[in-house]
Amino acid sequence: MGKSLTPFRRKDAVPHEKLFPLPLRERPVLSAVEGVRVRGVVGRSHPHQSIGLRLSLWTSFALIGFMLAAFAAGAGPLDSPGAQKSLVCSACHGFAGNSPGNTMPILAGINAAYFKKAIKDYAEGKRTSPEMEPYAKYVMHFGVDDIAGYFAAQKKQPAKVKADPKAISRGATLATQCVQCHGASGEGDTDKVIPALRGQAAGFVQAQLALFKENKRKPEDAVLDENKKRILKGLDDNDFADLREVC
Amino acid sequence: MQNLTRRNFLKASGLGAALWGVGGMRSFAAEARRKVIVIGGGWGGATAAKYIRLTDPSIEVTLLEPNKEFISCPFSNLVLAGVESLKNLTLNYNGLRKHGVKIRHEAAAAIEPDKRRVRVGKDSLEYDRLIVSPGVDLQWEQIEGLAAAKDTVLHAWKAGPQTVQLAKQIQSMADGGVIVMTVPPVAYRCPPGPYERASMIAWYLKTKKPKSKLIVFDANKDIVSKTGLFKAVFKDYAANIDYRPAQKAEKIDIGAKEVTTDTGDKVKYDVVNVIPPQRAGAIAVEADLVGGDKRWCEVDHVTYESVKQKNIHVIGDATIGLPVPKSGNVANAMGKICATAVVSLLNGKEPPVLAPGNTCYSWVNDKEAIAVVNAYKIENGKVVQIEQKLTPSKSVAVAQNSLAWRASIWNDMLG
Repeated sequence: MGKSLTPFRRKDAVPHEKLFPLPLRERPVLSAVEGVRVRGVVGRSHPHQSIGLRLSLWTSFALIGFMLAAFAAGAGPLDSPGAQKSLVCSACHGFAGNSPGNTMPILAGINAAYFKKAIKDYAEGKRTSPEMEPYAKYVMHFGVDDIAGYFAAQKKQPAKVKADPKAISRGATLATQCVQCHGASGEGDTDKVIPALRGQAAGFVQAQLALFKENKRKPEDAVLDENKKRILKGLDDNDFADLREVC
Repeated sequence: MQNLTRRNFLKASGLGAALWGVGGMRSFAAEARRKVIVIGGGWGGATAAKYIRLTDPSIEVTLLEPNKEFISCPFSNLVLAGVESLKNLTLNYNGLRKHGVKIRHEAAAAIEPDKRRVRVGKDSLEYDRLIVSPGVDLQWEQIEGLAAAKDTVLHAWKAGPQTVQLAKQIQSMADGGVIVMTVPPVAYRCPPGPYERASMIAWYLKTKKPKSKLIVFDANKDIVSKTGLFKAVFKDYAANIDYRPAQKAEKIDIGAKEVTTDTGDKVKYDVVNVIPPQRAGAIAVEADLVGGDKRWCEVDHVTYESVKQKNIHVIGDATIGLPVPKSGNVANAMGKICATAVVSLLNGKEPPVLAPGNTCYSWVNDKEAIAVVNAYKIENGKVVQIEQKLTPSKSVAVAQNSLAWRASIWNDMLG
């Protein structure tokens, strides 16, 4: 019962607390702003002002104070256009791009230029994914710059990796060829628009390796294509399974 | 002194102005504690409640949901075939509490739009904005004999005890038996759901009870969703599945164990699964949120505010008029967009113009799945589809993606 499903469940699913590190701004924000405003106004009110004027001033300041408080309270983590336009993405890619799923890539902290290239490729059908093609068109329509900027600014949450140490060791040996481009610890290269692999969802990495090997995903750069082919030629599914654990 | 109004007292008092100021501010601030009530803790309501708190924690959010646990309808068809357990589909509401959502495990008794109140038991709860995510109610009376037999003729269309009972009935049926399943006319919850269910039951019969048959009476002219993909799957199960489109179940006789359709066909069954016609949850009908059809709720496509009642928003399966399926993913997207709109409106801002998305997986055997994905935009204030894409065929990779999807979206709703 259900056992056939478990191998694909991510072992290192990010706990909820880590997904929502943003401190919830509690009620005191409102009362603190309100308190400051009230005291400030009392000090500055002129002794000869009529009660009526004073009251209307009071009302105005109270309103301003309230509006400031409301604004402070309303300026939540989802107030930027990029955050709002990315709301649909969290169904698969997790809150703030920290996907808890094994085969869905983590977008938090992604290189913005690489994100934009990926979206463009998906939208144009150069990278085939029935899931991503429509959403890539959504992103292009609503504004790829806003959305790329939002995900690039999010912090990638370190996943608790519980992979088999032997698989990591084998994968690390195989990965020595990857580091030339993707960096010594898989951090990627922003200037060359090379994606970071460190901390990426393992199942996603494995699936992409297979796509490259089957020539279903090309970097569109002859030299890169040749390099990928050369590196991946001698590797099989077991190697990919080991490699994914290194990320 | 009895004529002394507050204002006069303040004018007469040396400290009056200051006192009024402080007192006035306090009461103003107390009034400013804005309240949102969410009715229904499913895919739409739970998401909306959480995202309001995430976006603006100064807003008080109360969620009314009678069930103490959430059980996912997506993946419940796998339980019928014995490849998934209901336990894996059951989640709690603790995550929402951590976000500061006040949860009352009670059903809303009535909505009073004029007074901006919701009655719950003996209480009347006030709201500035109300989000209604009532899901669907099953219309038993539409099929003769069903209302009287609704405890024994299972729908299993709301995941829970009925899912487990139907699984037991199917699994304890002798080889050579006949299962009859009926599909209601559109619109109903989860367009591909009946066909995923038919596929999973047929897979179970093919592998475990090869002499048995599943007869599907579909009130619709053809398979409603993922049509080509399901047709290919049904071909694989040709020996165990008998799909009969454009035949609406009209009568059920539990004594004779017989289903009669509108074409006059009568079929005897060993196990029956009737998915009744549906409409928006009763609370939406009673509060007059439904349109002329008395079934579904029309809403603004950007804010999800009801076209019939101000300050009341409706999301999820209960809505109509948007070119989107009644799916969990769409309800989740509506929940987030509606939350953003409600927070904007309560803060005197223009709600952002956002569109939902739909990612919908259907399993067809114990390892493989198919999918349909829809992206939308807003044009002239209305939701318009940008593109729909289907997976080319069934595959293990798509099934794995569905598991990643569920881990993510369950966390998005309840984590």
